[in-house]
This record gives sequence, C-alpha cells and structure tokens, in this order.
Amino acid sequence: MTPIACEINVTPSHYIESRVLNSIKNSPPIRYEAKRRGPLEFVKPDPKTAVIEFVGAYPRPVIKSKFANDAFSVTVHPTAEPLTVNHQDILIPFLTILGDHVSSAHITGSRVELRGIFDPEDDSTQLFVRLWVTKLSNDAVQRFHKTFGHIIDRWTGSLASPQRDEFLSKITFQVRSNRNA
Amino acid sequence: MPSTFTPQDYITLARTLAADTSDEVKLRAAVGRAYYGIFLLVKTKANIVDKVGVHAAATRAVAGKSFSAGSYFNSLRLMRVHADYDLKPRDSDYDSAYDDWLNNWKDAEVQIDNLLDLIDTW
Repeated sequence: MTPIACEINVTPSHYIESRVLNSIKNSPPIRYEAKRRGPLEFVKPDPKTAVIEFVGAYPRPVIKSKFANDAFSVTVHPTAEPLTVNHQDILIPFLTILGDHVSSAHITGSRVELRGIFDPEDDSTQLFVRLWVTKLSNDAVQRFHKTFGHIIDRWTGSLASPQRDEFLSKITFQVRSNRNA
Repeated sequence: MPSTFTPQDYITLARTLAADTSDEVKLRAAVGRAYYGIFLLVKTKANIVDKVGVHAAATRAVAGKSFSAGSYFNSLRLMRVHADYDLKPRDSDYDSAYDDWLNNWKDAEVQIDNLLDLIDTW
C-alpha cells in the first residue's frame, strides 16, 4: 500500500484509527500514535492520494484487569496508555512472567508502574515497566534482575522475529528499590 | 594535535562529578556523561553508523546481547533524558521517581558497571 501523506494533530495519550476507503475495501484500520498536540479538526488527509475515514479518536480505555497480577499492583501512567494498547500482545505475557518470578522469589510489597518515556533526541517512545521493591538490598535487586533477565531471554528466543524486535525496541524494564521504605 | 579522547574519559568524568554527592547539578551531569560514555562504546562495538535513531539502534544492539543488559542500557538512557529535559514537577512527563539524584546516581553506577562488563566481552 502506498503511504498516505496526511497531517495528524491530536492530543498525546490518544490515537486515532482510520480506514482507507478507495484503495482496499475492508482494509483493517490503520493506527497512528499521536505525538503532537492539537484538536482533531486539523486532521488533513491528502485528497489526491486517498480518502480516509476516521473511525475513532479516543483514549481507548486501558483495560487494567488485563495487567492485574497476584504478585503486584499495576499503575498505568497516562503517558503509557497508548503504548499499553498498541503493545499489549507482548506486554501481557511479559507482566505474567514477571508476576511469576516475583512470587517465586518471595518478594512482597512490590508494585509495577507503566510509563511512556519519549526520547526527544531519537523521536522515539519507550514503554517503561518499573518494578518497585522494598526491603531488598542492592545485591538482591541485581540478582533478581539477572535471573529474571535469563527467563526473559528464553521467552524472547521463542517469539517470532517481528514480535521479538517489537519487544526489544519498545519495552524497557527497571527494578527500583525504595531505599526510604 | 590529534584527540586523545576515549569514551571511558566521559565515564571517569562522570565518577568525578558524582563524588560531590550533594550537588544535583553535578549528579545530573554525571548521568549524562556516563550515558554518552557507554553509548559511544556500544556504538563502536556494534558498528552503528546511522545518523538517525542511533540511540534506539544502540538499545537494540545491547538488548540483542541480553535482556538484562538492554534494560540497564535503556534505564541509563532514559535517566539521561530525565536529567537533561525534565525539570518541573507539573510537566505531564515529569517522573518523581527521579527526584533523589544521589539515588539515581547509585542506580546509574550499577548500570554502568554491568554494561562495562558486557562491553569488555563483546
């Protein structure tokens, strides 16, 4: 499909879905991740190239129950919402594996925070998965990080190449110790 | 006169700056220099010649070695973004987890040491 030139302005944390009407019938919606501020009326598809019907423009509600886990609570920061929707196919199994590992390591009182972090120098956004732990020494945090890393390496090795690339380029993980707790 | 600069010099400078543990300016600068020291080492090892998206390319290169190393690299990268770009708590992107810069530097040191171990065996 020929790329369609159009200008999209919509508030951050929202995305729009569109459908190309005159090139491929019943084509699946195309998703655009919003990066710029502005009202939706400024969307200007190029009429010479294609007609685009916008079928939705919304912060699709993040279904937090999908991320729920017995091992920790999950907080989704607004900056992470579009990323959690777009990458849920890799995020949900990742959080499940993380929850299993947190439980088996007998780490209690932990929580997970999801944030979208934009790197202005690369024009790219990462989904940052931050596991907060308490009462854990630096050495214990590093050991946890290392053993969890081995598990994730095995899991990503089993993924299809596009999914693996998506995971490696979009998901960042950090264990953060609350030293004041 | 030819330059004698090496990426490790940035990491040495970072450690020198961070020795003043009470100065947020120096701790923020230390995180930035440390990241660029590591980034330049990775860029050389992975033979990254792109002009656009170089930080993402470096992230992929390190993450391709191991998830753990990729996470350390990216955590340092994103802490550097916070150090240089995010100032006001009322900004929507502001992340209060980074409020304590001495804590941040302690995390950064762990990331740097692990990444230097990886780079030594690359």
